[in-house]
Amino acid sequence: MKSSRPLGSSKPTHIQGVPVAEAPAANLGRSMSEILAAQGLLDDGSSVDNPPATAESFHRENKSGFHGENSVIAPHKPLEGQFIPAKEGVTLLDIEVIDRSPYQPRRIFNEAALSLLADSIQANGGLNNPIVVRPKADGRFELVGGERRWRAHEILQWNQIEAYVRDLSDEDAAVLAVTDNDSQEALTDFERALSYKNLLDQKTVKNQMTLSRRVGRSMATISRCLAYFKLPEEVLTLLEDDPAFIGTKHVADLAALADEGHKDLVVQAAQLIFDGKLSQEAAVAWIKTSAKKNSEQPPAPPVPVKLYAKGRELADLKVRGQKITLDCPKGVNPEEVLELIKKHFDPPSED
Amino acid sequence: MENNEYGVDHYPFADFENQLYPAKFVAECLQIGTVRLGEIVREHNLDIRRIPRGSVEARGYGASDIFRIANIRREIGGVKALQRQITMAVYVQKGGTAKTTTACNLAIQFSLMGLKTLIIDNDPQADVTSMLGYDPDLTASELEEVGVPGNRAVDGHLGNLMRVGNTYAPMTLDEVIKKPFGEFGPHLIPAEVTMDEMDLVLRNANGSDFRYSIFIEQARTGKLPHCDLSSYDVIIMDNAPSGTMLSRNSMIASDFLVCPIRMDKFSFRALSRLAFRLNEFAKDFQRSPEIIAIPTMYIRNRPRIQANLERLCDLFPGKVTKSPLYHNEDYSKSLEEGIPVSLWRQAGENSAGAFREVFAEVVARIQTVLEATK
Repeated sequence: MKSSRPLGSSKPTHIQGVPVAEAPAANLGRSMSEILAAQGLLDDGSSVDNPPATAESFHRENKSGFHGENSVIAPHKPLEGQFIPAKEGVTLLDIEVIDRSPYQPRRIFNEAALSLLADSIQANGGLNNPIVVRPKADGRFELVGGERRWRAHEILQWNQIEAYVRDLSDEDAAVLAVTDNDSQEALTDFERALSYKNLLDQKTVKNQMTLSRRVGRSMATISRCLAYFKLPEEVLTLLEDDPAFIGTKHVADLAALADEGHKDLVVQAAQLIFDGKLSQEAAVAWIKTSAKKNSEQPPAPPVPVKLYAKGRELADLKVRGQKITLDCPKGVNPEEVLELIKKHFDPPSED
Repeated sequence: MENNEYGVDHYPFADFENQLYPAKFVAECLQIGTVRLGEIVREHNLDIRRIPRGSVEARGYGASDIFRIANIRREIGGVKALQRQITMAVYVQKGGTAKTTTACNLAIQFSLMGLKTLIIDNDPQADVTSMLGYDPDLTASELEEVGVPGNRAVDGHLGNLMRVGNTYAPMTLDEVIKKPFGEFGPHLIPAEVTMDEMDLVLRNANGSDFRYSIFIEQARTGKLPHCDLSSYDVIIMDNAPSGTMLSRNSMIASDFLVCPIRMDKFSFRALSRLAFRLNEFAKDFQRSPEIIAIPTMYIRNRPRIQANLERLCDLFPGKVTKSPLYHNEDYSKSLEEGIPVSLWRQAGENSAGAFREVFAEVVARIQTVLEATK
């Protein structure tokens, strides 16, 4: 039998220079229920899914099984890096002393997504990522980032939340509120556009270039977003009600059409999209076709002129743009017609 | 054709109940003689259909009959059962190595041994689900329109039974479970596309690597009134070739890890990666499932492929089955007819036969490991 490698006593430990991990010997001595019990995961009943949040063990970080990644590690002897270290600079704040951010760009809070978030916070026994607040003059705190996490805590009826307290200027708070949201559940394009516009209008950022750098979005994205404000007033009012109903993909088209004097059509179409009767794409197409219909009457079909010679019908003559065509009926020789026409023009000079 | 709405002239649908098998095939499946088979049928007054063949009528066994006889053999002590209930995962992080084929046929073989077997489709692609004749995409009424019984539609999966988080509507085992070959054949917890989100659900859960272990542990000990798995001797989970939380969970929950390894496109890395993970797990928990590597797509008389098999055996001594599964047309042909190869009448010695040999080795290994643990 042919073999690529002589069968010898030495066992290969590497293939292609890569060490091969040896398979561990089977060991089923420790039953799964033992392991689960040691992990505190087999407590009978519902406590498995809902660890009670008592006052003392308020979303304890040192609970075994905190954060999925670490649950593989034995609970009793914490290995290095097992737990997220007691987060530096994190303060436990009462929910009540926190106020909403005036810079919050988000208008829609999806209830389903919020309850999913609440679930995950509960399951993790706390936040992976504390919220950010800044102190106010009256001793209360203002949210900078984390309104969804904060609301999720309200759903859970937890009265304290982990927060970073940071001294931030108004400008920084405004920018942070946008970037913080941008990196999480998507803001609608219009919400994003509004916040960009605010930042620009209030001169928080100098120009679109600076804005692009600060919020980490391309210039193209920003100018697409800002196109919203070229839309007619009526459409913007609709957007206030439902910021999601027109996306940036079609804003530029709609704005351009409104600019070309089809404002009424754009408003009409926007209302149709808003009512769910038309898709955005179909609306743009509809405006374009209606605009065309209104502006240019289609050229009337050319009226044929009949040519007669010696009382006999010679040809149908039609003008099409820059062309003249002659259609000869049966029994008429086109060559003859050509000769007749030639006669009517000056013959070329024979000099 | 009237079914063109679905782009099919003929919906590939195998009606397992009307597949009739001759006594010889049944006897071979059950690894008994035809005489003994006849005795069992007579002793237990089984009502086997008769089909005319020439001047005499012969018995025509349905798939459910075969599994019923297997169950009877277990009850009368004709087969050796396992020492305890086991959980197996079929997993290797490499695509197209015959994972699904292995999982399905293992389940059928265990049932033929008379063991009560549950196969859990743990792959949102739902390959096992379709191999066992269920449609993960169409609804019951859509299926009926193309002439397929509505119970071939999938309604609910493992996520609906585990009830972790609130992503999936809670359902009971009775609502979800499928029994393609009747009560005594392998049972199936099917999958469908929405299982994709399971990864997120598990990630967000407390003890996220152990959710399957917890679920199986509780369901087996009867602690979950909506999902009692206490009667299953064998639970097999089929996985996608990915490193998602679904696969991790099933790996950790298993006693035996079955790894089909392709011999024609040898990838030792997939197995090496797996060994590495298991080593880590073993270090932390003083527990490690037994790896059973099965060489697949083996071709005789090809030096390169033989060398690959030798290399595999050297790298993972004692973990590789001696008999391989061969590269064989029967797999694709039986798939086309919608019947797993172990129950495909035309299957030859190199497909179903080879699988039986591999299965015998798997069972022997299981028994050795369980014996050593006692």
